[in-house]
Amino acid sequence: MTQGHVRGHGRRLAALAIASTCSLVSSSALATPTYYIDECTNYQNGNACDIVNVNTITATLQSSLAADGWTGSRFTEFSAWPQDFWESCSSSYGTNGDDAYYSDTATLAVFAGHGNSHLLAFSSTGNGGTINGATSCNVDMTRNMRLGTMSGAQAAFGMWLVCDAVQSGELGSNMWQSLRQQAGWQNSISIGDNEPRDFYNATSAKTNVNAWLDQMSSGGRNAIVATFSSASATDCWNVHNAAKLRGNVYDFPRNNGVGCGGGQALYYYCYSARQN
Amino acid sequence: MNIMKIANSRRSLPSLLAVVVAVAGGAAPGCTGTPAPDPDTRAAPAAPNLAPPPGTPGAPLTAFRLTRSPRSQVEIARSGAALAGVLSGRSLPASELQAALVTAGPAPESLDVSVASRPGISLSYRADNDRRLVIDEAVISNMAAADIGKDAAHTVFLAAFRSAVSSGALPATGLDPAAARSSRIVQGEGVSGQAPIERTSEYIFTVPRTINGVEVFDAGFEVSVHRAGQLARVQAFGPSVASTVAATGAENPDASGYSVNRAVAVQDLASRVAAEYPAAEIKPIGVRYWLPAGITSAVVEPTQMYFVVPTAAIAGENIKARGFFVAYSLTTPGQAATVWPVAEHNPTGDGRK
Repeated sequence: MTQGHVRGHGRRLAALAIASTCSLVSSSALATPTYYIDECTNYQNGNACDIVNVNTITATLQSSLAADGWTGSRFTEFSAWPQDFWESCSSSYGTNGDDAYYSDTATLAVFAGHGNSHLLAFSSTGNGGTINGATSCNVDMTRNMRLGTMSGAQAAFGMWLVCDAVQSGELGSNMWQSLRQQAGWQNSISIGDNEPRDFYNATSAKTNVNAWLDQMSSGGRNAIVATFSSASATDCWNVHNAAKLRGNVYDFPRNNGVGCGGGQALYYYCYSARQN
Repeated sequence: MNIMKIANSRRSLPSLLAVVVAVAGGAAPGCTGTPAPDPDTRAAPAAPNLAPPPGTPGAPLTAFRLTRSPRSQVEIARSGAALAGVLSGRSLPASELQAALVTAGPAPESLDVSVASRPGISLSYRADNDRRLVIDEAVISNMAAADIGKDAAHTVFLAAFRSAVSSGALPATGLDPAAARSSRIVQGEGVSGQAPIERTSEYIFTVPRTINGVEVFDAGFEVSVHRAGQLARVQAFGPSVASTVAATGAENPDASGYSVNRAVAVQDLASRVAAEYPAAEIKPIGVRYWLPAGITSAVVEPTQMYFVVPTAAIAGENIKARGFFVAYSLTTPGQAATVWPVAEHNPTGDGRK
């Protein structure tokens, strides 16, 4: 799915898509799931976001998703904007936030690039949106991101293909969002070109948790998958030990009911993590 | 140094090939090494070791051929069945796995299949590092079990290692269970606003593949023991080594290997990597044989390896770039480093505007 050739037109198309998707997801957990991918690899552009270039890792993931009938978009380089992950319902999360039209319209939300603890670092400042009056290359999961709730509210699984993004010690506080699951690492890592694809493909034979740990723990990487529940710790573990992206098990949003500007509702979290 | 023919290389990786030497039939012309001695000579009593210590110029090094050719369906099924037998304690006919692999193609790049007769058990194969992994999700998802502790888990690991070797699932050469590294999988839980409570879920023991004491990077045998004491995951991974084992236990290369002396001190390479990556976190890995991803067969010398994570302060945030492995030649000062993954900033995404 592309978002249209004209930005405004793209928004209208996306809004229609969201309305359609909502009815499907709410009526059946077996609806065809969707994806949204932003990937930055060229970080040497002479702008404020420069670090170093990195390898491409989501192209084959997109191919596998498409082959299974998933629909969605994969934007790269200067078409991948930090604002795609900023909550759009209020400028208090940053101006020009676009998650209602992009990252929070899809079951699977992916970012590949650089980062840090609860931080995604893009290669540009995107659409010019600001936070506290300044443009930004980044998505701060606490300040900017509300995936799975508020506007959009369709994201279920967050895959953060960056260093350090998911820290177990922050799951009770800084990972302030409403996804059902998040996958990442607690340390600095490298990622092979096809590893995100191989992870996804494995989630038909085994759970997201085991597929992630098995694929993403080699070479000293401290892989982690965290699951969130609005109901109970028991429900959290039940989902944790069952969810499968490719198997279409729990491929629907958690829906914690928090409205725009609302605080974090009570949630339970559970996780499995490699500690090398 | 004469380079180089990389057998079945999947793509062109100039920088990646810098210190990987492939030699067809004997020592590389022009290199300072000599062909390996024949087996009879190798079996003779060793002379007193007067060589310089490791890490210093003059210390002897040996190049070996490393290979990880994509496996056929039959080979994957055979290896997977053997590992599944170790995992479950009951032999598994390879034919059952082979039947499950029929849709995978003749030499699959990767696959994941469930074992129909063993609910919860699945096999994963990744050709890029010849990784063959079997797991038992029925064991892994056991949330109620009491913890047997690391020492008892280690005993389970040792039994699994012996079983893998005796059943033929694992070649014993270069694998010393006494040298296993330990790590863990932890599980944690909590409520919003509170710190997590953690517990060990699995004890992991990793036996690195070594050649005469030098590790082969990302190669070996790994066992995960669930806190309840059952085997949760078993995997074998990494390239194979073309060698023969002498009566002394030493490994000698086949005809493609050769001997050479170290010419670069470890201190010089530490200074070099720091100078080449001034804004980065640099983790020394040590001396390793390394066959980078994307190469199926090559003769490789030991290299000095580092893991490099570039860093930058951007708008008040500390950003860490995804890291990469860097390996320097120990025999050719100043030679370009081998780097993986290689930045290929040419992604083609969907049209946005």
